[in-house]
Amino acid sequence: MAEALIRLEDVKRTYHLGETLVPAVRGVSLELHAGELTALVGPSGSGKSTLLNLVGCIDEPDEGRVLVEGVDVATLSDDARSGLRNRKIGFIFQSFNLVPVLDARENVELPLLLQDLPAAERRERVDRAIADVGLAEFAHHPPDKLSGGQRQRVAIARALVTYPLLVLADEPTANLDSETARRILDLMVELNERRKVTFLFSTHDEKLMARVGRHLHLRDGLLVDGEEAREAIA
Amino acid sequence: MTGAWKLAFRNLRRHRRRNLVTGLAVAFGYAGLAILFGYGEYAERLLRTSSVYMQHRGHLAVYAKDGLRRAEAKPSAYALPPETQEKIVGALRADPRVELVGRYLLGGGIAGNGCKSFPIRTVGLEPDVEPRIVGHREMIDLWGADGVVPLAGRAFFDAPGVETPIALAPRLARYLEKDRAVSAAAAPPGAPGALDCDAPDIVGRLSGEPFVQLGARTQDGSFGAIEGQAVGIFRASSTEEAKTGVYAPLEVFQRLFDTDRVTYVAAYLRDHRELAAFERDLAARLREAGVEASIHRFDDPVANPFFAGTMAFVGGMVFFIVILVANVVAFSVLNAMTLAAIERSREMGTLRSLGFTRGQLRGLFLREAALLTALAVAAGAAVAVGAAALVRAVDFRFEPPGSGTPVQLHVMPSAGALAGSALFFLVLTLAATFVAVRRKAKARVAALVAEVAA
Ligand SMILES: Nc1ncnc2c1ncn2[C@@H]1O[C@H](COP(=O)(O)OP(=O)(O)OP(=O)(O)O)[C@@H](O)[C@H]1O
Ligand SMILES: [Mg+2]
Repeated sequence: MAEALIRLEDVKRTYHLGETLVPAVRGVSLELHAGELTALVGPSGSGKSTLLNLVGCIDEPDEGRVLVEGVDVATLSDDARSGLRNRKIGFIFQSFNLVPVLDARENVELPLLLQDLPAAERRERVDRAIADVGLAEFAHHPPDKLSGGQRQRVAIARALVTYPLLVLADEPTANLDSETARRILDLMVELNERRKVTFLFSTHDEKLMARVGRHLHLRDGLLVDGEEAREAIA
Repeated sequence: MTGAWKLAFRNLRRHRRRNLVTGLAVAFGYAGLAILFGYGEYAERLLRTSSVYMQHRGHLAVYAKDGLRRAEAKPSAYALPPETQEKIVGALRADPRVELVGRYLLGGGIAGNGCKSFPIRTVGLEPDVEPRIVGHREMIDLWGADGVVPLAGRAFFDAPGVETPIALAPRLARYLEKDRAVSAAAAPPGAPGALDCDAPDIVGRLSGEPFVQLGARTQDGSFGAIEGQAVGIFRASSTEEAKTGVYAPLEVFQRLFDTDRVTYVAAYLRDHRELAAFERDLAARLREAGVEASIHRFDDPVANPFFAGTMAFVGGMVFFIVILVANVVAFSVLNAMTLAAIERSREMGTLRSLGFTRGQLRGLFLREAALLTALAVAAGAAVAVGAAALVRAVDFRFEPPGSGTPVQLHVMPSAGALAGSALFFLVLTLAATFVAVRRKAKARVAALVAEVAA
């Protein structure tokens, strides 16, 4: 088997809330491979967001190692980690997090501005990403003139435009009605199948999980197997 | 990074209410400083031209060694003899930075009109140099033509055919009852005989003729006297001089003091900014020529304590206000930018997750601050120039302390002052912004993304 895109080795992350220690991730090891569409499932407070942050290199573990293409990210400088996020990882947030002063197209273009791309290629990539999420008509709308579903499509396009190794989505559908949520998931499944985009997304929506091949179950900061998880919920 | 200025500009526009408030603080702070600097520059020019030209100090003056302190008490030892004068004048004239050279003989004595006498301070000047000094472009620019023409009569150097022309300071002229006499076309024939000072028409008689008797101790200690003919009343450069000053051609006072020496030789430069370098070169050149001399710049605290003291006061005041304004501006920018950084934490986290480095993130905020400052400074400059033009139009006149001559108030800042304060404000606002966003830029990205705007 090829080298994993992402490898977590016994990763732990504890928050400090004043005097209290909140162990959010308590020792997780996992591997993600190219082309996978993986759902990270677990109840509220189980550590999904924390784990995604660690995978996405926007947070650092207290213990354990995070390797991206075999490289321990703890050995990288902050600037190098920023570069790694820019080129290898795409982020989709629950609350979209578009830049309000930029229109849809400019939001999608944003990560490419950090790269040395010829303007023509940049334009082409942005056009394609916007077309992929079906927003060509809305390219020049500012975020506050777009619906929630449309905003999340912009966010998806922005995550895809750099051709990342991995796209992380933290409850991408939680702020959307169920119909829109289904469509966003359809889009992710389609992008995974057609463009071989690797996705890791978190959710606690059972209906969404059913569409996805690989599930990771998280409980109290630990990965458990599917049976255990269902028993616990029941 | 491409697009960073666009992003900064849009963010500036998006938060325009707050930025307007901050911008106004910067703009008015800047306008205030610019006007203050304009006033400071003006005060400096007033004092400088007064010291250099009106008081005949030159940009620098060459005395015999220790001559500044001792020449008047013991002129025979501490004034400059002709051969030394020649060497000094030669050294000064040889330098292209020197515009004019003048020799001066200072002294003291008494002046009388036959009935009353008063103590005087005499200034012997070179009649062919003097018109170019009082009529200097810098003088006219600042004091106006009114400030440099005599108050009455003619200048002493403009009295052909008069053997011993003298010019009196205004108060002294009045004391001597010569304030009307100076405009008499010519002296009545014959020297005045003995006067009956108790006669009822004595004032009329005194003011009908221009003669003033001058008496002094000569340089070798005997008594010297000459009869001067008042041809004009000059504008005194200080209230003290107004009561005691008498100007005359150098040769007239050399006769009075029975000497061929002068007290000092003054050099007037084309550009006062070259003074420091010129002084160094001159000291070296005089040493080479074997001249033992003391050089005093016009701003020398020993030679010109009034200038040095006043400038120190003005400088202290300006410094104090600059610190005050800088604090207000820095704190309002710090405040606004801290608020912006808090409000936009999530946006900052998003940008970081998209790959912005800490530096690039700070760069966005610094660009916003730079744009805001540029706009505010432009507005502030317009306000300052407008206010200065208004001050000029109002034509407010005042008498600089000790000068005795009213001048118009100007507060127009120079291009240099405008540019310098702009740079100062830019550095200030950038520093405040850096401080405001530094912590956020260093925070964990995940923490920023999760932060909920307050
Ligand atoms: N910044 C923080 N400071 C302190 N504790 C935190 C912080 N973020 C998360 N936690 C705690 O860590 C644990 C895991 O939180 P996390 O957000 O990762 O869970 P989650 O599975 O994403 O939950 P949800 O489904 O509600 O988003 C929770 O107990 C939470 O209260
Ligand atoms: Mg979460």
